[in-house]
This record gives sequence, structure tokens and C-alpha cells, in this order.
Amino acid sequence: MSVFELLSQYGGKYMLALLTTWKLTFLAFLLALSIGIIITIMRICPIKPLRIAGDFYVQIFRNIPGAALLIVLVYALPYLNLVWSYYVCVLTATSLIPSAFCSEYLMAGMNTIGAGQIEAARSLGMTFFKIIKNVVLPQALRFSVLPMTNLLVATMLTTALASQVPMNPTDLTGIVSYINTRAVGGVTAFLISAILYCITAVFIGQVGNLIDRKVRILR
Amino acid sequence: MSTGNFSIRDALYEAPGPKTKKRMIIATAISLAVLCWLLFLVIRQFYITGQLGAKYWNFFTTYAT
Repeated sequence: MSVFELLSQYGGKYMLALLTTWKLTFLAFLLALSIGIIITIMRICPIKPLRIAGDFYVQIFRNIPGAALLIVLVYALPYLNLVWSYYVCVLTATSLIPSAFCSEYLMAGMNTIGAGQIEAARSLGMTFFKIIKNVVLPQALRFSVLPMTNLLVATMLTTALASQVPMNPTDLTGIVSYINTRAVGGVTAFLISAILYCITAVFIGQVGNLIDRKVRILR
Repeated sequence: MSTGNFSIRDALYEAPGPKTKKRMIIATAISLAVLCWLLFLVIRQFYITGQLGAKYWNFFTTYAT
């Protein structure tokens, strides 16, 4: 089938799949960002068990392959009487892994803040949470805009995991197997998905660069 | 200041005073209890669903398959 045949027959489905991918990406990234911030605060707080738990969390979810995590969520959790919908499973897998990376990026962003600034804040009598809220997090977030852009793209590509479980509506990778089981789409079906992925990634990259230029701290 | 591997984690707080020390001990105890509770919940779920049964774990003790 040619590109035009595919688009005329399955164009609507492709749009739906694109929207699903966008929605998954957006939700997963928001979750990853919030979990990442919480984990990062745990990792820098003075309470030892929380530090260790945060480090442990990052080590686990940074090193687990996405497909393996999805398999655990879909096939192993039901043995523990935890049956989640496929959508929730995919969303969990695609937000837990980026959250570990998010925490690492934030830690890297934090380490660029001079220790002198924090000592200054401390000598002004700020409490730990005040320092985090007013000095550390704003700068760490501004420093990590570009890594976060990469993370958003990586999250979008991770949502291709959704094609491994039955979902309705499915995502951009899932739609290819949907088409190829019903018609002879071949590589062309992949091409359309790839182009849509590319457009999204380039758009995210441009917006990320724009934000970075706006909020970058010049030294 | 830049001697050794001095990281941002060390800059965030100084040596705690007696009051803070007490508060930190309490917070440590609470967080430890919460983490243990979470671990307990996981193990309990394993136990309830029978996943701790010997037949699932025996093969770790066998020398070869």
C-alpha cells in the first residue's frame, strides 16, 4: 500500500494514535517530574533512611528495562491480586523509569549551584525546606531544562511500550501492528508513524531550546 | 571548601544542635517505621496470595537446573 492509500484508509486512526501517544507522554512526564522532585528531596534531606530509599529507587528504576517493568506490571502483579488496566500499567511503566532519570538530572542541576549560595541562605536563617523551595529547586529546574527536554523525548519514545499490550485506542507503534495485521502496510505503515514521532520530537526540542534560552542563568 | 568529594548534599546543613538532633532522631525513626511498614505491606501481599510458598523459591537452593 502506498502512503496515500494508508492515509486515506487509516488517517483517522493515525490521528487518534498520535493523540494517544501525546496524552500518554504528557501524563507520564508530569508524573515523572513530580515523582522525580519528591525523590530528589528525599535524596538530599538529612534523614538517612529517606536518602537511602531515594538512592535505591533511582538505582532500581534507572536500570530496569522498560519492557521488563511492563511485563512485571502486566503479568506478575495479578499473582499478588493487583489487577490494573493495561492503560494504567503502561502509564506506570512509562512514568517510573523517567522519574529516576528526572531525579538524576535534578541532582546534576543542583550540583551546579555554588555551595556558597546555600551557605549564605543558611546563614540568613532559612530552614531546610525554605532553602529547597527558594534557592535550590528554582535553580536546579532552570539548569535542567535541556536534560528535561531530552527526558520528554525519551518518555515519548518509551510510550511505544504501549504497543506491547492491547489498548484501545492504541498508540503510534501499536497502530502499525493493527494495520499490518489487517492490510499489507509493510514498512510504509511504520514510516508514517516514524514521521509523526519525528515531528513531535523536533517540536519538543524546539520548545525546550526556547524555554532554555528564556530561563538560562548566565554566569 | 572544594576538598575531597564535597557535594551539595553536605552544604545544605551544618552540624545539628541538640534540639535539631532530637528532631532528626524522631524523623529518622518515623521514616524508618514508614519504610518498614511499606516493606511489610509488600511481603504481606506476597504471603496472602501464597507467593511465599516453598515451591516458588526452592529452585534457588538447587545447585544446577
